[in-house]
Amino acid sequence: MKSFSLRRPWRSSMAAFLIPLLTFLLACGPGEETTPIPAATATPTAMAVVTATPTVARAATPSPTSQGPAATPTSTSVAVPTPTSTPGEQPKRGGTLLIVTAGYPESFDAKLLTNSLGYYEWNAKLYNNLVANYEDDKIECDVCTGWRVENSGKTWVFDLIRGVKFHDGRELTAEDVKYSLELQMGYVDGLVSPRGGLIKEFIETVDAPSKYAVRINLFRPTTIQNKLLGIGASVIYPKGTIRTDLQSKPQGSGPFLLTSAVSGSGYVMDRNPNYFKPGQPYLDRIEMTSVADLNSRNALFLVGKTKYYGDLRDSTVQGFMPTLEKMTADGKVSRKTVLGGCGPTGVWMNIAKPPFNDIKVRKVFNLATDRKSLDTVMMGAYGHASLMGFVAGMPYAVPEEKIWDIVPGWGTGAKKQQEIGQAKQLLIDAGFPNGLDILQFHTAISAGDVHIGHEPYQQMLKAVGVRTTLQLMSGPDQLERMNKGNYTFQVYILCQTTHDPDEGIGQQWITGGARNNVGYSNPEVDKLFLQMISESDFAKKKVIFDKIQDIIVLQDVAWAPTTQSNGANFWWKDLRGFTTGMNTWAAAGMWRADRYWLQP
Amino acid sequence: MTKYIAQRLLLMIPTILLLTLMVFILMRVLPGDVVTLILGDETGGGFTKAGNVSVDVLRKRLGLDQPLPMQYLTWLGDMVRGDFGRSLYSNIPVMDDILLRLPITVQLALMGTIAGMLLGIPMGILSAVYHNSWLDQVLRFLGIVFLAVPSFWLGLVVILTGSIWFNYVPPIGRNVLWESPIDNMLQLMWPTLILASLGMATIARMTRSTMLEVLREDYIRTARAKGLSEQVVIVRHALKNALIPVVTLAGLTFANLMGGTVILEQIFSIPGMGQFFITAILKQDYTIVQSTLVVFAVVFMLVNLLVDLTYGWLDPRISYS
Repeated sequence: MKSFSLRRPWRSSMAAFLIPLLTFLLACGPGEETTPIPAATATPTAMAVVTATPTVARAATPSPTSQGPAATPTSTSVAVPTPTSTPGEQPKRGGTLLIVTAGYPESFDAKLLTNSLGYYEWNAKLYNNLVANYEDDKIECDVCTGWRVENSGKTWVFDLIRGVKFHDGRELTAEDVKYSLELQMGYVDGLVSPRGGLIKEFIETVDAPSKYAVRINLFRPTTIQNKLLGIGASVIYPKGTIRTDLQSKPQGSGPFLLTSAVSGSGYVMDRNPNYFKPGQPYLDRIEMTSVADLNSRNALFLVGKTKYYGDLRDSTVQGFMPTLEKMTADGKVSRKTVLGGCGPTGVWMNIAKPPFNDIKVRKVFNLATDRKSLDTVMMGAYGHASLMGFVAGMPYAVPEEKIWDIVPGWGTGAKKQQEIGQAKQLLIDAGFPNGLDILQFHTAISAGDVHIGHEPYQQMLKAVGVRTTLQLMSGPDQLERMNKGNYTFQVYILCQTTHDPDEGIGQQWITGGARNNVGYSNPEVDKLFLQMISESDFAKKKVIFDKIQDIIVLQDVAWAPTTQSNGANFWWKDLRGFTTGMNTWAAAGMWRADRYWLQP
Repeated sequence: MTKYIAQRLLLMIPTILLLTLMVFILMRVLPGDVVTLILGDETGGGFTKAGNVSVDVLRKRLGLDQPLPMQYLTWLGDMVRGDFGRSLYSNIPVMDDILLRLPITVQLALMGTIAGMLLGIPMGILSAVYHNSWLDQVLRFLGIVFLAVPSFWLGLVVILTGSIWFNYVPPIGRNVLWESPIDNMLQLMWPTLILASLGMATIARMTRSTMLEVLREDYIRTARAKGLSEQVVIVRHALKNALIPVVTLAGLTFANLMGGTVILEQIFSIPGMGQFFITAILKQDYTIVQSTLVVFAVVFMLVNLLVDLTYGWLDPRISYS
């Protein structure tokens, strides 16, 4: 080797190395210090891991038919709810809250957006609903003072708060509510709201008998319409608003005014000084920024730059979960568990076509599905046993101990091996003594990261004699093929809004259901479904739902459910008034931020 | 020279036309339907599929019910008049979005390329001058390391190390140079260094090999024999001649970075062209993809033209007259 000596080229090059190094050290510096709030000042509701219970659900949904005419619910809401805080604490005005989400809404038309999560979350702050869901399953008035039920539960009359103003100064009246709901149902321009259009299955007409009264006439007595009216798609626009109006600016009455929006990047929203809820909102400003990378969002929450982390599923953040759990244990942040926005999760088989039109083949796939292994792979072992998308603790859930090692296909250990043996025999009985060769859908990206399960599931099937060829496809291709029934089978997750069985069964399992992509049809289920949606009494409704569940899962083996992950909500303790609604994303109230405040 | 530039610019027109046709066809043969994607799998928002009219209504509204040649000609005609169309999702004019994002991407690509050259060229020179010394080995090793390490990994290291150990995260969102220069620099500093590390490695290797070749030329020996200082020999006589392939490489690097910084844009929350483009592809937003590709193509061709013109400055033997 040549010898080396310092000469001019070397010295001049040194600067090129030193400058970035110095910049690195300066940039890292001490950084911003985040001061943990002492645990003693934590809100009581924030301390526990809470899951919605049947009790909550029953309390939240007035039951006209079950209580009879004399007990017909009247006003069950208050006009100006108080924020959730430690008792005795006075919300403090001021401050700027930075919120980061994975995406950016393509427009201000909350009724037309489908790619939920951040999208509803962004727009909810600019609008109001007739009713709102701020916490758990509770539905409360948003721009109304209360409601009463008439006509044996078929008519709901909402009295509006007077003096609610849109951001342009116009007063919000019953005509605006009527127009907005009709727009949502597709009666104005033919475009039915993808996420909120379900109300047209329950609402026959909307009237405005007076300036401040809205009458909603239902096809049949039910209560789900109130949940649907509380989701982000059911916001109120001024009468006459057309879609193009919403592409450049919002048309709402919400607690925050849009100050600036940078397409694809962020919103800056300032306090609406004319907001109708006295004293609210407490924050002066909200800055919303789209941060596509999960690790970057984690980092922003970790350093306390963003105060809540609320659009997650446990499984999505499994790598970061130990850190979040430690922060919770250290008293820095609060945690609340709710239902994830997406579910149920499982194996979707196209039962309208061979070989899945044979129940024996469906049973093979169900028995071959090793739920424990899939849970580890897809959910990071954060999943819970679920037959129809409801996990333990939720109103319609089957307790986990009644699923594992009991329901066929949910075996573990030796029981699983026994099931694999049964599956092999069933495959022979189904006419495939030499095994079955079949295509398997494989998507590179999916909600809830279930795409990670494709290849492990391929191995599980191989163990029982089903040889699959993975067919990689894009999300748009997958969606189109599923809608047209042009697929074989796949591991998949379905996202819903309310997680009410009226929605889930109604869209996915009835004959010709809008999201019935498995091609399932059973007249008994169709009949029971009609009974279920007309039933407002929770206990009776659950009995019907259980029957439907038994038929779909146990009798017809129409799909092979797997475990499901809950939603994760974490927030720094200096953020007060934060509540979580019926699931991680759909509820407009929880994202409205009019009750949030920052503890100095 | 002017005639040459005019010729090159005119040649761009058929290239762009061919590109528009290819992009249009490619986007339309991709499986999947953008209308279904906009409306989601619950397209009708109701219980049953029957009677749902949203798909047809939206298809008509977006002009996707027209025959494909008509759609192509309409888009092309609008583009000639300076209207690049509107996003199928947001209805925002594509050019508005491009103008919003292009400056920050150009800045990042430019900073990354320049920093890569500032680091890579001295490294290459040192490697060549001290050929086979331990310094050469170290610099070559560094070059291979930075070539091998993916940029997203470096980005994640910065984000996660910064947040976990130093309670630090770079600024996020849109911070343009003329509105918030400090945030802009703090935000772009890390992606610039990461891009520079990649550029540095390739440029250093290219500089080293061309310098080694040039340093063995007779005119270098003559220059040394004349008694010129080593610095003059290297910088004025050797480097200038060795730079032609390096400049080509730098030009291509810059052009690639214009659309190739998507992962870093995601990690550092920079609303640039890469992120915009990839999101549009995933959502099958035809107008954005088509128009953005045309912009990329034009930038690519202009950069190439600029690189070609630089040759004449670097090597007087090359003339465009």
